Amino acid sequence: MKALVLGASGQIGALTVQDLVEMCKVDVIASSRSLERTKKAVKDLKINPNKVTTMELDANDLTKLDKVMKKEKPDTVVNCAWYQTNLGVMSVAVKNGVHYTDLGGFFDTTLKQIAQSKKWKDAGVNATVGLGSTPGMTNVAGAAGAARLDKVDTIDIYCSWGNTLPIKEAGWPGYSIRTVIDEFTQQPVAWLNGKHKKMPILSGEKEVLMQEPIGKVKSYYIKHSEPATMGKNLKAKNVTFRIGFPAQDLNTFKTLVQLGFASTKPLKANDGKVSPIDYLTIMYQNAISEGRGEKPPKEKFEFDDFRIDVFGQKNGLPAVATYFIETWNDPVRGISSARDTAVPPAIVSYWQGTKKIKAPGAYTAEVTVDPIPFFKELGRRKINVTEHFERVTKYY
Amino acid sequence: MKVLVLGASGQMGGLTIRDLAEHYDAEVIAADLKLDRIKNVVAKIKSDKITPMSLDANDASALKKVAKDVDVVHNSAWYELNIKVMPVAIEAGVHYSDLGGFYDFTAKQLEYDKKAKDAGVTCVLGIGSSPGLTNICGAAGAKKLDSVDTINIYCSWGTKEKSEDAAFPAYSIRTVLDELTQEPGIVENGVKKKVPVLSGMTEVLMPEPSGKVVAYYIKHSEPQTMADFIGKGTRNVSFRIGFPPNDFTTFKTLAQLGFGDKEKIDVGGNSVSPKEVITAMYLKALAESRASNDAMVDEYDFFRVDVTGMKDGRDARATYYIRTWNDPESGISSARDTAVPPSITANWLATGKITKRGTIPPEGCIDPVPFFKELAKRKILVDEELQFTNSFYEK
Repeated sequence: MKALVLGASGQIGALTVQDLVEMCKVDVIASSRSLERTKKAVKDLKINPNKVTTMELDANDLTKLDKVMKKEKPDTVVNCAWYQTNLGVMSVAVKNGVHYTDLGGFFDTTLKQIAQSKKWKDAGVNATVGLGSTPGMTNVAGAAGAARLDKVDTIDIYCSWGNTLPIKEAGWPGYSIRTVIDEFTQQPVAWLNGKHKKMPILSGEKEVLMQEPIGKVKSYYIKHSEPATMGKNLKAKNVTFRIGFPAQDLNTFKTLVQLGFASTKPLKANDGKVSPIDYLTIMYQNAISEGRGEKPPKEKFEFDDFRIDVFGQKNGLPAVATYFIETWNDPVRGISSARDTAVPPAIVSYWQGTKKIKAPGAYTAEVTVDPIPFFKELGRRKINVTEHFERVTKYY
Repeated sequence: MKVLVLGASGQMGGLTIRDLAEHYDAEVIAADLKLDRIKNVVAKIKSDKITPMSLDANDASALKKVAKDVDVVHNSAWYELNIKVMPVAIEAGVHYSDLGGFYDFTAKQLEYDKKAKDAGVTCVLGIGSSPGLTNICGAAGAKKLDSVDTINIYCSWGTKEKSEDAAFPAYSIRTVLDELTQEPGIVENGVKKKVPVLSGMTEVLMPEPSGKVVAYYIKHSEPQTMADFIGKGTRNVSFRIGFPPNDFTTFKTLAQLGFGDKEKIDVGGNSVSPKEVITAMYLKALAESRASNDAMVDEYDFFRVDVTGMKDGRDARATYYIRTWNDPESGISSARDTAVPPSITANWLATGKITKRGTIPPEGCIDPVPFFKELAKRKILVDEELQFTNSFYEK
């Protein structure tokens, strides 16, 4: 099987390439806007060069993408580039009969993507969209919880991360800085009483108990893809998504936003023009690329943590299925916790290529991904899923 | 059914005889040291089947004479009397129950097991709220699991309004002071051991409005019996109290001032122990508050019992919450959660619902679910949460 990865030099894409090669044993075409950065990523991650072809390919350049697909005939395409390329890449993939997966459409794009389902059905190929950690694993955990219950009422999703370093490190999100900035400037949407409802930015403050060492953290509504689809697909009345930012990161990102780094309006700087958001993105990309060559630490020191509560009824009694998904940096393989976003699209891409996922159409993860085998695949990568199923009996 | 209740004018005894009268229409001999005190209590209960009686629980022959004529002797008096009253009940050939032996007395009482069996009677050791309901919850949780590892018990209480009222514990002030001055016993890795007073600090989530409280080990009877009587591999048993912060400070102050001391001191020619003084003060205040017509404050008593172990090869936990609020309809305080269980138990003993003989703590002889349903009739609310855990990775 052969997979084409777009955005392969990015924080996530490079790890997706690594997982496809090392864990899924498939051939990969690793592409991004910068051939140089892609090559460096493959080299820095010590990925077997015999299994990877590197290529310069901008996910916005659909003509070139079409040519590559026709020539290379990949079984699947994994889009790890910026989410605004999702619709374009999908249109080329469906035309060429190539299965598709990506890291999420930030709510609005997700809805547009699954609206294309008929085209995909007609072409007999599968698009499973939004397959990072969140959206992605969180959707699958929601589906797992719904499968435990007779009736689903509410799905609450929480996300947090952190490190155990004593020093005050810079605020590194486990995902694209562009997405972080969007999260701080765009209104979140919750699914409440069977309807999408726009909420104020950083509203819905709630304390939630995450796994140690986070413990209790304050969390806020954030614009995310899960509430776009999970309510309808899992027949839930309410679906919410909150992030429990580590206090320092929250401060850093808020500062960046208040300084104006969210702006897409180009500013004149010396002889060129660049928008603050592009500038910030490049700064982060360079820092990530530089950091990758460094010796990986020998200890566990940073992590990602998700919590998904699925409330409902079982045998007429109140019940709740709670999933914790915990990922630490893996000192043995030298891979950061960000693999929790990179691995899921690799697994899904592999499942598409091996016909484990074959339903023609365009869907989100809660529809097409079989939870238990998926959790076990994650377990092989030390992405640890724990399920607590709780039933309540009242003796009065 | 005929029941002899000792200490019937106390905080608990008064409510137990009321429950026996109202729920079972039982014949009750309400005994206490002081006849006028018990008469006052009985006068407030609408039943012609309650006989007030002056009786000294220390007087074995007088006690035996009365005990012979009843189905059940229930001791609501001070726990140090357990070891005096219980043997008399066994000799008289009648069933017996009490509110707990505060760990050490419970151990002594268990030595009477053979005597009780030979006499064909059941002595239920510690059937108040805690010990009592907590033990039953432990047994209920163990039933849901294949094997048990740990039983942790927590208790908290409080009022809805954060008033600046004096600190009244829902149980005897003497017991509170003992709790703050005597080393608690726990079971750890299958071994009973004593730990320092107020050690084992942990945060625990109780039902609202208690919420998260800081809880400490406290000397209590549960760890004395639960590992042995619940079995299934139970290796750890602990009891903690999450005191309301104000009460905690007050009781600690009283304990530090020496009000927990039994030793008599001379004050103006009178020789009296600080513990007796503070107990008398509380009893007086309690009697006065009972007489007053002040509007009732909304107050509660909560327990949480976590039973962790395995079920079908998975980690599992059964958690029980017992919630009791004051009942504005009947005007009965939340303290009924300690007073009602002996009433139910007396009925079960008299009607043959409890069949095991010997000296047995509640977890060894009481069927949990029917008991929870009896509690519900008194608005003592039991919630059960069963949690099973699946890990999809190599540990």
